[in-house]
Amino acid sequence: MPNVSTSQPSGPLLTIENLKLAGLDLCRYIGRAPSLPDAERVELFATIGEISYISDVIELAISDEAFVRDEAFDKLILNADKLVELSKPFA
Amino acid sequence: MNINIHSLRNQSLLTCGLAEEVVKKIRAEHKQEWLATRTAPVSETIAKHAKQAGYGIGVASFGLVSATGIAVAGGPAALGVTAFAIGAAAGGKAIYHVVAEKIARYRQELSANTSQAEAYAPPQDAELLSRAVLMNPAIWDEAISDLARRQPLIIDMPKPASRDHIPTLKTLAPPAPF
Repeated sequence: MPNVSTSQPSGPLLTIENLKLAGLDLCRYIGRAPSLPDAERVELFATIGEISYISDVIELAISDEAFVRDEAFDKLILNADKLVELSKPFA
Repeated sequence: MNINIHSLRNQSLLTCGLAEEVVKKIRAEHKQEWLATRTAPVSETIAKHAKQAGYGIGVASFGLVSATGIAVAGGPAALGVTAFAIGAAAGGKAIYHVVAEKIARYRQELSANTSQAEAYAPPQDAELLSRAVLMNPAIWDEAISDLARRQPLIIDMPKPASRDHIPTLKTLAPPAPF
């Protein structure tokens, strides 16, 4: 299977945990910034919603014993890790 | 703003698209089992977090991160996003939880008409999403009433929902009664 190793700096379980923490960080950021413009607040809440969805999909996949990890899944993990990195300034 | 929300947004959208592709490859039976085990306590979970909403949006919203994920697992990511957008536009604190709970309920209503083991057909996805979006004009009073019955003290001077921040609202057909 090609390119498997490119997406494995952390592993899916750690990615899920990091995504949830990133979602929490964004929530806290919104809580700290009551004067945040509405448009930006909506953008952040949209991102939190997406993070929720992404973490659930990963959890759903790895809990399915019949699920075959492929390049698409590894790409998902890789990009989820990038998403976590981009959320760190909000922590 | 010195923090780049747009880069975060772009990466989130990209990753969400990848997740939507992956979720198609997961067995329908497994989705059904997973949803069954996770949706059972959803109302209790949301009620618990609605109480916590009085103590801070961080704690409250973290609960919603899971609750909305439960509501949309196997469904369109846009639904979860809409829930948050509605909540954000509404401007309240615990309102997010009520919105998520209602969306979860609508999803269950739709599921009652078909097998949960089956993937939603595009018309079902569209209906579910349109219900969520169309809740925006009506959601405020109803949700606040619900919330007031549960936790009257945690409502923090809510303001009416703004409809200007829901970009999909204007693009949808007139609401069907539900």
